[in-house]
Amino acid sequence: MTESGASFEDDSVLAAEYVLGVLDAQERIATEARIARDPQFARHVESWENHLAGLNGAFESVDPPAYLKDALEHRLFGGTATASQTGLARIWNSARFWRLGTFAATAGLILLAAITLREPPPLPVTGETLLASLVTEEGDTRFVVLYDSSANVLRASLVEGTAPAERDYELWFVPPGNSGAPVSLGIVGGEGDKAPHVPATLLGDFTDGTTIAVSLEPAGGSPTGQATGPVVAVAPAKKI
Amino acid sequence: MPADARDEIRDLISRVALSDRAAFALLYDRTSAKLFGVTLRLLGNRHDAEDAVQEIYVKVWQRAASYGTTGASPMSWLIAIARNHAIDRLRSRRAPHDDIADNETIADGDPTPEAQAIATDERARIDHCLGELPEDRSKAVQAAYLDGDSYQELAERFSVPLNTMRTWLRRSLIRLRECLEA
Repeated sequence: MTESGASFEDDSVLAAEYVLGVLDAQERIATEARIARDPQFARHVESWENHLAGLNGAFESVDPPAYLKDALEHRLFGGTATASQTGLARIWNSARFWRLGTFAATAGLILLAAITLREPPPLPVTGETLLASLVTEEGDTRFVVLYDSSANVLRASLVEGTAPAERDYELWFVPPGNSGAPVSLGIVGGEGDKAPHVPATLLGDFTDGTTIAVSLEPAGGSPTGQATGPVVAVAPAKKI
Repeated sequence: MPADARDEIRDLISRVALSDRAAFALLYDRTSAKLFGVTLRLLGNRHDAEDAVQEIYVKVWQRAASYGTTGASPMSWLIAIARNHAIDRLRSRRAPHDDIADNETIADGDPTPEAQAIATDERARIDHCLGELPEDRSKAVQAAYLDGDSYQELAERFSVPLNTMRTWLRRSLIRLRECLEA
């Protein structure tokens, strides 16, 4: 086992031994702790995972028994399973929803045009400030989210890129460990009750490391209160 | 629709990060045969493999938000979670490893979406670099990765002392990295 200060070579070999799986139980626990506290070592592990991923094709696919999925969903979600979400997905995919949505989107676009003509108010920085920088997979759209906890002021800006026509970017608070439904933090560039804000119910929870996500929603934001469109970026908010 | 299977799985993971249960169900449908195959091969019996698959998808549900911070392909990320879970389980309680029944429902021969999502160039590169190692070293690396052999088991499989196996494998890993990063 290596300690911090060990050579690049030693760290890389230990990471490889971990990824291969040849270490014993105690060594694995120690290595996992190292991954959690040492980002440079974690990158060695990631690099080996990518290197060895080429072997993954040798694992044959085997259909698991059907009851496994039910058991899993019951365990995660309780008795309600996916009924409501499935219904939501059906609505999302229905032509009627989209015809209505297009109408709402046009109205939203007019509102958006009005909003973008106004300068956002300056951010008073008086206490702990959290910053999240979110970038899409393609790297062409970038958001910055700032939160001043003492004044409870949340600011969100689209600093690079634009929203596609008739769509809005919506901000979400993601509960730790995905332990509950995400909570909307408003719309990037939104106004009134759609302006970026941290709801009173989340005040104590919005702390260093809080995960923030951005999804692409119909203009005016999610029609359901839950994210319906693709998630384009996820990042933690860090204390600055 | 996403352009290909890799994008679709990536998209599903990011929706799961927002507690989208429908996306989770679809992600399970798309990827569970591969992950069940991984756990079955490593753990060697259906009972443990079924338990492991459940635990693995619970982790996927909890960790989906962290996926975006890794540079991994979505399938590699899922398989890494599955392998780590299965290996932790192997190390804490060594399970019998030789009883995979012959009548398993091996999915048909057509490449599945997840198989297509494993980039063929990744595979060609590792095959080439393993080919540069002495044959027994190459087999040891694959036995560890695919069958979950520990150092002790590798030493027994190749009939060499444990410390010799450690030295062998570590040297092989350094050569392998040099080749893979060349």
